[in-house]
Amino acid sequence: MTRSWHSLAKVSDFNSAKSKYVDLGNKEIALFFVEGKFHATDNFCPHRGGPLFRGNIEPGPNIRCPLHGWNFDMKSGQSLNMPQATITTYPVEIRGEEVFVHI
Amino acid sequence: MQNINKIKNLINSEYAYLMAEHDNWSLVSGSKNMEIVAHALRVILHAGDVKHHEAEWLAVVDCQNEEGAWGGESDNPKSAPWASAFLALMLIRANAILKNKKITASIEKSIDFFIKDQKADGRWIDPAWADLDTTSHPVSFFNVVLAIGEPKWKKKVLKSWRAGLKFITDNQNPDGSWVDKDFHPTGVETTAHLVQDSVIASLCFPDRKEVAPNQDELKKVCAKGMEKLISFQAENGSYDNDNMDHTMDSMRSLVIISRVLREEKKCTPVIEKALDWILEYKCAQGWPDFPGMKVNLERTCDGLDVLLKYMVWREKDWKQAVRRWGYVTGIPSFKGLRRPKTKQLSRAKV
Repeated sequence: MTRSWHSLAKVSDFNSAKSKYVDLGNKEIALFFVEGKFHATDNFCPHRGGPLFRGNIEPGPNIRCPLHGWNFDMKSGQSLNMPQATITTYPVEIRGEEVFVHI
Repeated sequence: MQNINKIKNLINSEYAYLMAEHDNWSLVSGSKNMEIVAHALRVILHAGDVKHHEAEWLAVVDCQNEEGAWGGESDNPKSAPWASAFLALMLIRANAILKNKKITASIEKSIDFFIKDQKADGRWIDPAWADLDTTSHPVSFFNVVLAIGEPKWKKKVLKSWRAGLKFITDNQNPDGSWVDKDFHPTGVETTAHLVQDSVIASLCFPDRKEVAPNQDELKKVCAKGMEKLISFQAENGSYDNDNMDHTMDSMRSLVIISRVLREEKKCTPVIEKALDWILEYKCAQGWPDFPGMKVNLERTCDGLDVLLKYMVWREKDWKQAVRRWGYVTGIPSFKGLRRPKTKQLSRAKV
């Protein structure tokens, strides 16, 4: 499947929030803004489908699923407490006021 | 305080929705995630509708692996202790009604699996779950074996049950919570699970003083857990940052704790406030994981279970609430179920 850049949010969306999710119909993408940097991952935890955008952002930066605590590195997608588990991460670019994600 | 007729109507409309979603949770209609299956079977059990769904329970038996366990997915037989204990629990509780020999044999196999699978320190391990949470599930299954199982089973599980319960009580924090630093640093869900699924049952058995002679100590463990659960509640009635799953877990845990410890006065405002929040963020049909999100079947099953447990929590007889967990004899029922028309259920190869 060919990947392409998609504008998924405005930078200003993150003035008051550190995360949000975007429903693309066939998948949901979680966006995080941590210490001045944007990160994009799949929104659903591979364990029981917990919405990662509602998880706890922890130093790393890592995202901990709010349902049962599976914890993922936002950059690599590798789980820190479930060695076999990963989530897909996506490149992010800021173009003006828009947050573009390569999906 | 919620209007009981409103809750009854809600149970009926949500139950009809669950039945309309049959193909998405039923093993009879094909391969499934076994946790979804167990969640749906629990609703059917608590709605008092088991006899009309015997095929669903027999389909679970058909998926049991050689070890006596189940995989996390019906088409992957690799033993998954967390899901297996939930399924074994559903089998033993439903078989008090069905009295099916195939199910009896399946329960025996799963008892043997859990005794064999237990670690030396009393815990059970499932790589997908925190050890405390995983351990609470076989303990919960054994709770029901001790409450309603055959005498030979009780004898068989007692030592293993005591070791599992000790692992859990030994790991309670001084503030009453249970925390797993790798999976559940806030401790809300783990605390809610461990009291209702494990410890509280030891105060309910008819022969509790023989089964668990340290009754005073266990009562203190539950009371501390209850105080911690009360303190975890947010101002709006929810738990863990508007987390529907954890709010439902905490509310249900307080339902059984409050009735067993006779702490209804203290817990009533907490339970009612949690339920108000759960109902406020319910969707037209079903529940989401967080307000504003799409509904999902697992949370919808939990929501229905919350309502069914709330109904008995409001009854005079405290044992009606305990019966919803299977820790005393008797059949759970829901008076007023309007059984929706469903397709003719027959067993398919799963």
